[in-house]
Amino acid sequence: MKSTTSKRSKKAVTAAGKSARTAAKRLRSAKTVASPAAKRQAGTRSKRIPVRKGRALPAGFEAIERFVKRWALPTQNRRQARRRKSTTAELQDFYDDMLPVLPSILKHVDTFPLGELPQASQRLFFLALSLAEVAPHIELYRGDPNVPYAFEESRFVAEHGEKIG
Amino acid sequence: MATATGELVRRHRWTQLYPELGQGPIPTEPYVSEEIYQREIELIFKKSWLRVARVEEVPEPGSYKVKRLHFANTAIIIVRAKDGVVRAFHNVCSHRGNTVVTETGDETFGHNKSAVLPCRFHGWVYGADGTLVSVPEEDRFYSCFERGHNGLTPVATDVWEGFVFINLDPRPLHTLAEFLGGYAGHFGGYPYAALTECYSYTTYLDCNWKIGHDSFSEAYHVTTIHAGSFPNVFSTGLADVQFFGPHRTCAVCLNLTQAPTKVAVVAGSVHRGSLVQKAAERRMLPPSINPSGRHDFAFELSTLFPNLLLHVAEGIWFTHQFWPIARNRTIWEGKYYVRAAQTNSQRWALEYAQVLQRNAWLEDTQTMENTQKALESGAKRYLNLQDEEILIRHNAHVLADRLAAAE
Repeated sequence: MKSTTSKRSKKAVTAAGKSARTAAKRLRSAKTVASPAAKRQAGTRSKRIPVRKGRALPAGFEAIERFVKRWALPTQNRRQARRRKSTTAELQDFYDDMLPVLPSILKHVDTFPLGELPQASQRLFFLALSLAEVAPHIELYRGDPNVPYAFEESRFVAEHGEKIG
Repeated sequence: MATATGELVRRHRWTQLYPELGQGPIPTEPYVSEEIYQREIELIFKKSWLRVARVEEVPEPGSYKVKRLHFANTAIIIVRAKDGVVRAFHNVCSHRGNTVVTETGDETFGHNKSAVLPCRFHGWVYGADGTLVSVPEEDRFYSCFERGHNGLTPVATDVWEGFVFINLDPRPLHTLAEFLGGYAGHFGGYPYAALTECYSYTTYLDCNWKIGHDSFSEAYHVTTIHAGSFPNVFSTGLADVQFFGPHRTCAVCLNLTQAPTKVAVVAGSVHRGSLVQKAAERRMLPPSINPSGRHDFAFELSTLFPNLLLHVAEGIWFTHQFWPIARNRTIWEGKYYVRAAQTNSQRWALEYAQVLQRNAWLEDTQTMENTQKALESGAKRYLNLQDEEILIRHNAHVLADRLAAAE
C-alpha cells in the first residue's frame, strides 16, 4: 500500500521477470527437445556447476535440496501462490521432510546476523519460510491447498507481499 | 467505570449493566438504505476525528502521505513540516484545482527534501505548512490575486499516541482530546511505537462498512469461523466491557484448550507474534487493560468511533479500519504490529504467526459480502443479538442516536 507507484513498477518488474523466466524456460526445453547432444552437454561438469550452485544448501541439508527449485522462494506472495498451486500430496511431502530439520535450520540461520545470510543459507531460509506458509494447511486444514471457508486470497493485497525475505 | 468480574452464569450480564441499550433486535435498514448511508457520511464521517496515519509514516520534515477519502470525494495530504508538526490539507491546487501531489492509488507516499509541495501543472509551490510560497510569473496575475490567501485548504489535524487524526469539518465541534474522552486514558501508555514491524493488508469489500465492522466486534464467531485456523481456541466470554461516549472496548478472553501444532510450538519458542499463543508475563499493557489480571485474557478489542478497531495485547497490537465508498462498498485495512525480529529465527517465527493471522482474517472476511447480499433481499427486517454482541448493539444505538439528534 506504500506508494502504488512502486507497487506498479514492482508488478511490472515481476511481469518482466516472469516473461524472461518463461522465455528462458522455453529456450531450455527447446534445446533439450531439439538436441540430445545439448542435453548431454548440460550434464558435463563445466555446464553443471552453475546449476548445482543454484540449488545447493549448506552442508547437512542435502536431503531437502530436492525442494529448492520449487520452494526456495524469496517473497510471501510467491510462496503463497506456490502453495495454492500445489496438490495436497506435494504439500504433505514438503512438510514431512521439512519439519524434522526445522530446528536445525533455525539454529543454522542464527549463526548469521539478521538479513545477512550467504546464498546457500538464504535458500535454506526461504525453504523454512515456505514451511511457515504450508504448515497450517497440513496441521490445520487437512491438506487443503487453500484456506477453507475463506475470502478469495488473491483479493487481499499485502503491503509486504513483494518484500524479499 | 463499570467493570464486571466474577461473572459466573450471568447470561445477560452486559445488557443488565447497560440497560439503556435494551435487549431487542436491531434493524437491518441501516445496512442497506442509501438514505441512511448518505446521512452517516454527512453527519458522522465528515464530522468525526478519523485515524488516517501513524506518525512513523511521515518520519521527517518533507515526508508526506496522501490518503484518498472516497466518501468525501477528496484526498488529504498529511505532511510533516520543518517545525516537526504534522498537518493535513486537501490535495487541491489553488490555481486551477489540479491535485498537488499526483496520486497513484488510495495511498501515495513521498518525501520532498526541501519540505515543499510543488504542483506539477504550473509549478506552484506550497510549504509543508500549507502556505503558497511561490507562483511562477506571479506578476501576470491581477491585483485581486493575493498569494497569502491562496495556501492549501487546511484540514483539522491532531495526534494522539502517534496516531494522526483528521476532521473534515471546517470547524470541528470537539477537539481530538474531547472527542476521545476516557478512551485516551484507557489506551494511552501502550508502547505502540516500539512495535515497529507492521504487516498491512487491504481489500475492497462489496458490503456496507458496518457489516465489516460488526464482524470484528464480537468473539462469538471464534469457534465457528476460526475452526480452521484456531481449532484449539474457544471464547470464554468478554470481560471489562466499557463505553466512552461513542467509543467502546472490552477484553477478549480465550481458552487455549489443546496443545499448539508442531510448527506453532517451534515458532512460539522463538518469538511472540501470535494472538493464540500463551502470553509471556505482563510487560507492556497499561493497568487499565485487563485490570483483574485474568489468565485467559487474549487482547483488548475496541472501537474508536466511528471506523477504527484498535486491539492491544502483550507484544502485539493491530487495527481494522473500514472506509465507506458507497452504501454497499467498503475499503478494509488490516494492520498487525509486532516487535521487529532481531534474529533470522525470530524473523521466521513472525512469518508463521503472521501467515496464520492472515488466514484468520481471510476467514473473518469471508462472511461480509455474503451478509450484504442476503440483507439486500429485504427478507429480514431485524437482526438478533446475544449478550456477547454488546459492542454491535452499542454501535447501532450510537449511530441511530447521532442521526436522530441531527434531525
